[in-house]
Amino acid sequence: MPYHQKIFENLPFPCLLFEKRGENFIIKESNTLYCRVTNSNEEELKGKLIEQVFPQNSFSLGLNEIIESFKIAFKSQQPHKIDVLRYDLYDKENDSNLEKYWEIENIPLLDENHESEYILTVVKDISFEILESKRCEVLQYNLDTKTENHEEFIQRITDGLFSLDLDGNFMSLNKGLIDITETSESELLKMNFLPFCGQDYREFIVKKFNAAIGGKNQKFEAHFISGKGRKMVLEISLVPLKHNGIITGLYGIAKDISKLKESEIALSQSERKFKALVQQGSDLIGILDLEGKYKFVSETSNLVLGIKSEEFIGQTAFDFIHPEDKDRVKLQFSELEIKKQIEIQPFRFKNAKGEWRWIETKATNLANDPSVGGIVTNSRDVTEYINSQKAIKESEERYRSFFENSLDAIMVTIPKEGRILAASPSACKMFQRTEEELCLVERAELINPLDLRLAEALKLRSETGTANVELTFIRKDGSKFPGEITSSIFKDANGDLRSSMIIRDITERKATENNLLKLNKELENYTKELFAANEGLEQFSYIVSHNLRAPIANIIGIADLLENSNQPEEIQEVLLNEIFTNIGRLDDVMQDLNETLKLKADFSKKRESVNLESLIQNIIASNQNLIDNENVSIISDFSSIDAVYTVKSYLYSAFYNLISNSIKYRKPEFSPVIEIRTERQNDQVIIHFKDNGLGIDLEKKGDQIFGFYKRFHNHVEGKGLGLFMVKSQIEMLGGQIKVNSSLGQGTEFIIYLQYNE
Amino acid sequence: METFNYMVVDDDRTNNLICKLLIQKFDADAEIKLFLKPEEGLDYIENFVDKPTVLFLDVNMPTMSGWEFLDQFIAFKTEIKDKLHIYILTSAIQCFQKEKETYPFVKKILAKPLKMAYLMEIKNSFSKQL
Repeated sequence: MPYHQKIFENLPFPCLLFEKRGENFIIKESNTLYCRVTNSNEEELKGKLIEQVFPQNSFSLGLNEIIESFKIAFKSQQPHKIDVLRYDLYDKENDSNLEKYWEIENIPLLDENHESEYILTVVKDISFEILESKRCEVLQYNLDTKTENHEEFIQRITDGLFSLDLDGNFMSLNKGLIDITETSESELLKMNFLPFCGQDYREFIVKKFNAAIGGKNQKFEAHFISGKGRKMVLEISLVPLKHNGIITGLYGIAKDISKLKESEIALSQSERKFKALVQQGSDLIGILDLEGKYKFVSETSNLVLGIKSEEFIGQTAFDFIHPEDKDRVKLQFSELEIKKQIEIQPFRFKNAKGEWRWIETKATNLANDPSVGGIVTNSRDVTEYINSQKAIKESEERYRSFFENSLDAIMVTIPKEGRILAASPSACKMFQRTEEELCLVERAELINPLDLRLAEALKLRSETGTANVELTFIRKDGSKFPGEITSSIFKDANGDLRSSMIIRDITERKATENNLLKLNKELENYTKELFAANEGLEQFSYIVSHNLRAPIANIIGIADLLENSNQPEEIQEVLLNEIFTNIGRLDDVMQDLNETLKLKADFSKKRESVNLESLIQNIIASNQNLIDNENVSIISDFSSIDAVYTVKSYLYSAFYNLISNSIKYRKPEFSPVIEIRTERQNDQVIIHFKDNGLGIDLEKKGDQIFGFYKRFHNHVEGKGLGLFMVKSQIEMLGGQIKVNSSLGQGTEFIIYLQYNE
Repeated sequence: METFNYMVVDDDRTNNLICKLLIQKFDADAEIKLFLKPEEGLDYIENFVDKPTVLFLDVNMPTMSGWEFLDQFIAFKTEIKDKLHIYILTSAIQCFQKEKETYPFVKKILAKPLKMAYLMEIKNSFSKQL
């Protein structure tokens, strides 16, 4: 046996040797192992085709594949391998086919000429591996499916699942956590849990985290803040994550229980509220039996009445009620036998101090309700309200009395239109109308609508809300009276705008005021007179120094000359004459002084109506010679005022002096023309007295023209007394005199006198 | 000795007569000018005074007071003004303090009537000044 045959025989793999014959490959040899594996013997196999040896059975799909492989290997002279080929073997014992998988390698064997001669087929039973790997595949499949399901579950669950490393950084997480934290996955994976901790809970949470890392499972509630700042309450479970017995991190579950907490809080609040209503409200709740005995009283009794709730139990409610109210309350209470609910009007109830409080009660019969089993009373202390109502009533009465009894007229009107809504009795008396009549009249029938003060008052009232003015009012009979009105805008109980009017008849006050005005005017006159007296004194000093001293000084001078020198006789005579002249001057001054004093003494002279025309005619007649000689024309026009109520002698003197002056100071080349006319201006009579004389330079002499002993001309005799007298007399009559003049332009005197009917 | 003239301006005739007689008695050679109207007095001073002259000026005159007279006099040429020695001669018994300040060139205010003593005093002050 050649040694290569021995090698073949003992190869540790099942082998076959094929020889090509024509187009077919036939088995030439088979080794021991092959025969064992395939349950065959060498003789059976020798010289046969492969399909003859391995006929088609339940699972033999690869015969063609083998023949193809032979051909490829034979032709290419390279080994060709079939990785897996299934060929089930028949198991005689069990009469069934065994599932078998084979790895086949066909190796061409070459002859000396490098021509393919045989095919060595090496077969390897790989059934176990294949079957195992199949089983693994199934297992893998099952595993994959389960993992997917888990992952989906993990992703779909609304609770947040996560893992943390030992530093608290997120290692993995599910969608639930993304939703809860309102932070994206990528973001979270870069983060630590700390930023999500609620401000006041951080320390607490870190403590729990550390405990979990220490190996103890943790479960707690804490406040957290989402990535968008939403506050939430989370229930957190932390479980240590172990790897090879060492804690490498934590698994965690986060459950958002914010809503739960909110509703818990809301619930507890509403509970408290209800409790507060019953226990602490100002309402007093009680449960009584049908006899009126207390079974329950809310704690508010202490607050409202100062009596502790337990003290009421067993007591009869009626014993606390004021005797005057008791019967009424009892009667109403008994109605509860037929009525479900009653309202008891305020009655007096004794509190702990023995004071009477006004209580208002609503009672409901719940005797048939097993949970109550009595009359439920809901009471309220209305003492303050009752008292304020009383106060309002009292104040109303007070105002009513004020309204009824006031001496001033009181009216309520609608602002703007002025319609009267109410009028006091004194208003009716003042306007001589009944209240009904007053409510119907127009404003114009009571006040002159054109009175400017009315418009002003209305304007003031609309601007400031109140006005106080004097107006003239009209009575029913058309007569008028002065009144002081105070009017204010206010809102009535309905919020409508109203105005109050308080009118006081001030007829008497006006009369007093007028008297006062008169007195004032008189006082002014007295003051004027005083001033005049003072001026008189000044003038007296002037008179003394000039008009009295001058002639005296002259007399002294002459006497001295006569005494101390021998004057020629004719000079002596002249000097004697001078003495007499100067003595005469002295006498004149005395007489003039007497004249002015007489003027003051005559002040109280009687006034009368003086006809101006006849006064002028009198003056002309008395001075006819002078008038004729000087060819004086006097033109008078008294058409507007022909008479003045005054002291006749003063007016005569004034007119005479003015006429006399006009003649004295005439222009030499013209005949004097004097124009006299009157005019009326308000309550004044104005008398114009104009001449065509020399005129006076008022700029120089204006302040002196009416002065005592003031003279302005040399050419005619004058004492400087005329205009002084005129001014004094006019002023005595309560008038004034003014002058218009300039040199060469004539002079106009204007006399202002008070006009009296 | 330098002589001087006299002027009297006063609306009172008697005073002028007294002045004339008294001055004549004091200085028989003196030239004496009397004026009843101040306007004329001013006119004379402005146009005719050519030597030192003593002026007796009254205050209370109807058309022009002595003070108004002085107001016009102030406007005259200095050489004229220098010639005049002005004395106020008045019957008034006031002190005229304000006017003294306003018209400092007035030598003195004299109370009427004119007296020998005044003339003596004036003559003395005159020679002293020279």
